[in-house]
Amino acid sequence: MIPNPTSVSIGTADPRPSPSPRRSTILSDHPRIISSISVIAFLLLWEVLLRWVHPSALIPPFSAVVLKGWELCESGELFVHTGASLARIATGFCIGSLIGAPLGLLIGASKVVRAVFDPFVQFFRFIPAIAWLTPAVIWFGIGEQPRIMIIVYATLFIVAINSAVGVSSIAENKIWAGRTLGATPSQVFLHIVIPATLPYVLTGMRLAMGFAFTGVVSAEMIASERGLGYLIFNSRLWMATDSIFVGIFVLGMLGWTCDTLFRQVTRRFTHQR
Amino acid sequence: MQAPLQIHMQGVSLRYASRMDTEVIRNLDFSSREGEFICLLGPSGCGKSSVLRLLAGFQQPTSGVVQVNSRTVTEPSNERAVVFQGDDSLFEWLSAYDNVAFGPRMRGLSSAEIDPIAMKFLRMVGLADHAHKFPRELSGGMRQRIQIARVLANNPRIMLMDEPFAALDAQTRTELQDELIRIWSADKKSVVFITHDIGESIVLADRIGIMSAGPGSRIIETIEVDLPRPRSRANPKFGELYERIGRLIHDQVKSRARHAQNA
Repeated sequence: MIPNPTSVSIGTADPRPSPSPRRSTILSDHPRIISSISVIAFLLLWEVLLRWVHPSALIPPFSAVVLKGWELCESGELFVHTGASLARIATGFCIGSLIGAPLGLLIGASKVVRAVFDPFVQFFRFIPAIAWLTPAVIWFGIGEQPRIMIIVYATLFIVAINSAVGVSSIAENKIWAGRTLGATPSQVFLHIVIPATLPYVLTGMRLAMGFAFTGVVSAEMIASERGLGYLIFNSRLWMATDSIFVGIFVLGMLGWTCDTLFRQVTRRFTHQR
Repeated sequence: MQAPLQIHMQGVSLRYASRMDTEVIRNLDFSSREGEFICLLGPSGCGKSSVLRLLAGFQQPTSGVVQVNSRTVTEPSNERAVVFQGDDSLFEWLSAYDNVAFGPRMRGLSSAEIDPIAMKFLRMVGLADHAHKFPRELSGGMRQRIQIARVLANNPRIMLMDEPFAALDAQTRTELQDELIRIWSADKKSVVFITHDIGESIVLADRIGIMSAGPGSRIIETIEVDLPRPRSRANPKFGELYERIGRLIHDQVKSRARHAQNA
């Protein structure tokens, strides 16, 4: 699905300022400064537009969102919702990755396993995780289980497909080299196939994390009494747009932070290609 | 004194069922003795690499005998090392050192036993100072040096080399040719070296097997190179040999073109 494991990073993922042969200014050498200015400008514009130029009940000004956020922090409510969502994401993401990565490796490495699973992978790939929410609630009741199942499902497929693609894009010569260097077929799998596929597995996990966030919000909107999805969905009943924006803001920051942490932790396994 | 026969190929044919039933090799005979440096030379697309793949055990012949050290080749073995053309056979997640240590590690040697082996061969190919760099941090020539050190560390009986220097610039290629001969002279491992470069084959080989143009190619002539080593391209005999082989290859390419026209 994603042939190049580095292609996921969008925009200025590489924090090192690259020496450019073109004439450079202080700004073009420091993309982070530009990014900061762009964010501050956006927030200012938002504030000015909605507080003074065109106040609206549908969108709160930025300062109101900050105030509401502070309020929800003080009452502890925000931490409860954030913690609940994060726990679900972490559990589902870990279970999904732990099943998806080995499954993908086997699908990629064995023609028999591929033949067994391929029709299912091709079919279920088009069924979004939320489509399973209703049956999951019927089967597991309204508890943590259906929500975590949704995230496992969303994670598993992406990780498995990426891992399988990783295995099939290993250069044939690498396998042959291993064999002529005396590795047995199982040593080839352990010492060549797995490390060569690792960058693809990690790319799959990074993509899956995005889908885990999507999945958790959808699940919490329908069958929940806690979580950021619940906060966003429930606040609409009272037209509490400031609370909605707090939920959205925390979700975005949380995703960004998780992705950055994940990239930092796995860096040494991916930067080698 | 003649060394014992090492490679023995007789009546070998190879047909790919998938590629419109094309016969790549037809009725090929070839043999070599222990310690010989053999070059297989031929126009591109003549099935040189297929011969190497048969010897390595990556493929089995449709018919005929492929034996190495009196045993029929059925699968790859660390007795028959392969140096590949591209660098995609290197393990990019391992340092130069760990690439070279791979074979000994697979044999279950301890780190203490592996270290002197890995360092010896890294030094031999001039990479001792780059031991902890990763392949992507090294030049194309250095990456091919890792490949050579990696197979030597496994102490193979034959080195099968598939146009290993074809992708390098002329300067680096000459350097590596000299180095290969120096390494080979030191312990006279058998080498089968595939190339389409006439000059390269004369510089390196004891014997050159000239292959006919495909499909259905075979070895049409084997030429002894009795020039003294180290060889100089300035030697008048080098030029004579070059002319002679050049004509043979030229005739092959022409006859194939005629063949294609008639077909």
